[in-house]
Amino acid sequence: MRRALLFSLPVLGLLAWGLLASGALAAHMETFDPGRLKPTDSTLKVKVGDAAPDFTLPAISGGTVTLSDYRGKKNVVLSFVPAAWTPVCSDQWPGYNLALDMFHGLDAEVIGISEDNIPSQAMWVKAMHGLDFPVLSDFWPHGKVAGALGILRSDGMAERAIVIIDKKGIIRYLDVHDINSRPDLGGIIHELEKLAE
Amino acid sequence: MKRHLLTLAAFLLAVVAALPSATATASDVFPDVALQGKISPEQRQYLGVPDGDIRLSDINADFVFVEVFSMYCPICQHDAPGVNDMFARVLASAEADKIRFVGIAAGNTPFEVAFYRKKFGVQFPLFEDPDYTAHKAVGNVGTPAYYLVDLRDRRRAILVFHEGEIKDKDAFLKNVLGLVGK
Repeated sequence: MRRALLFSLPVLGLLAWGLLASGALAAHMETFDPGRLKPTDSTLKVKVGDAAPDFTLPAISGGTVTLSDYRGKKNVVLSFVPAAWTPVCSDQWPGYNLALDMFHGLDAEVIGISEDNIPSQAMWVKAMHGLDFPVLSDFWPHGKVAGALGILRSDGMAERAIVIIDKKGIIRYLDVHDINSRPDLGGIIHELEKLAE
Repeated sequence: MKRHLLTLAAFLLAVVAALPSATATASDVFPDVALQGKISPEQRQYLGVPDGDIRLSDINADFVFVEVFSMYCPICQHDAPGVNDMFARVLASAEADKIRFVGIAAGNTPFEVAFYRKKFGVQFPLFEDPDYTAHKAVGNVGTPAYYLVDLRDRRRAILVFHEGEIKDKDAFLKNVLGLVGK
């Protein structure tokens, strides 16, 4: 019996550690810190007043999303983020999710896009407790949409950028933000309010 | 033997459950951070601070409960109703006069703080920290982070520190009120 008990100790220890570890994971999302990056690393190919290049991209919810489907119906806020599982990106979209009523009240839909593939995006969004707006993958052909806008960095990540497109499909606001920091929610809402005037 | 194994398993699980969820900070003194942002006259009265710029040490109370949070942080969003409930229960307790609640919004602008306040109906004063000055001063903690700070001798000793979701708010609050009531 003593042998059985001794044998069981490591197993039970592992069980206890597993419980602890899963609790820690639920409470604190682990992210990869890329350090401070060059603030911007791309050259815009579009400007305010241009027609937004159309695209169709796969969504983590399944199926695809086409930008021009929103034409005549909704303003669109494209939020490009550089990479899943990084600190600033993980601390950006949950705020937009909390403010979705405010976006919808201004007749706008938020669409999140990164250059990560769908499986990575999906698990990342799950770790962020879920998001209620579309999250699209610009992974393949790699960076096609970000490249068309001129916000693809030389390392294959997108810039941290906000692109607001009105119901006519015209770009009304562009913010290629310092990749190391988060755009102010207030600034985005203010630009949408201007569209509503 | 099965009974012994079950007893051993139960013992280990009990040990795991009893482990504290909080860890100590590197420093046991809460920095005397500037509290930035507009608060209402009622909130100034609640904190016992005059008009103009204030620092944590200006708060006229024996203890201050500090929540370091972010509008963007999903755990903070999830915890917000529970923190409001703790605030209401403290106000209704025998220790209400001894303790004041404040929130410091790491990396949040005035717009973001105002939005969070309205979204969750937060009644206690929330302060903005757009350039993370206060957040850096407290050691870049994960959000949310909760502190009970002793202001009685103005040393700002940290009596409680908890990082992340408070899973058992009843036990947490009981501990806080116990320390305040000593």
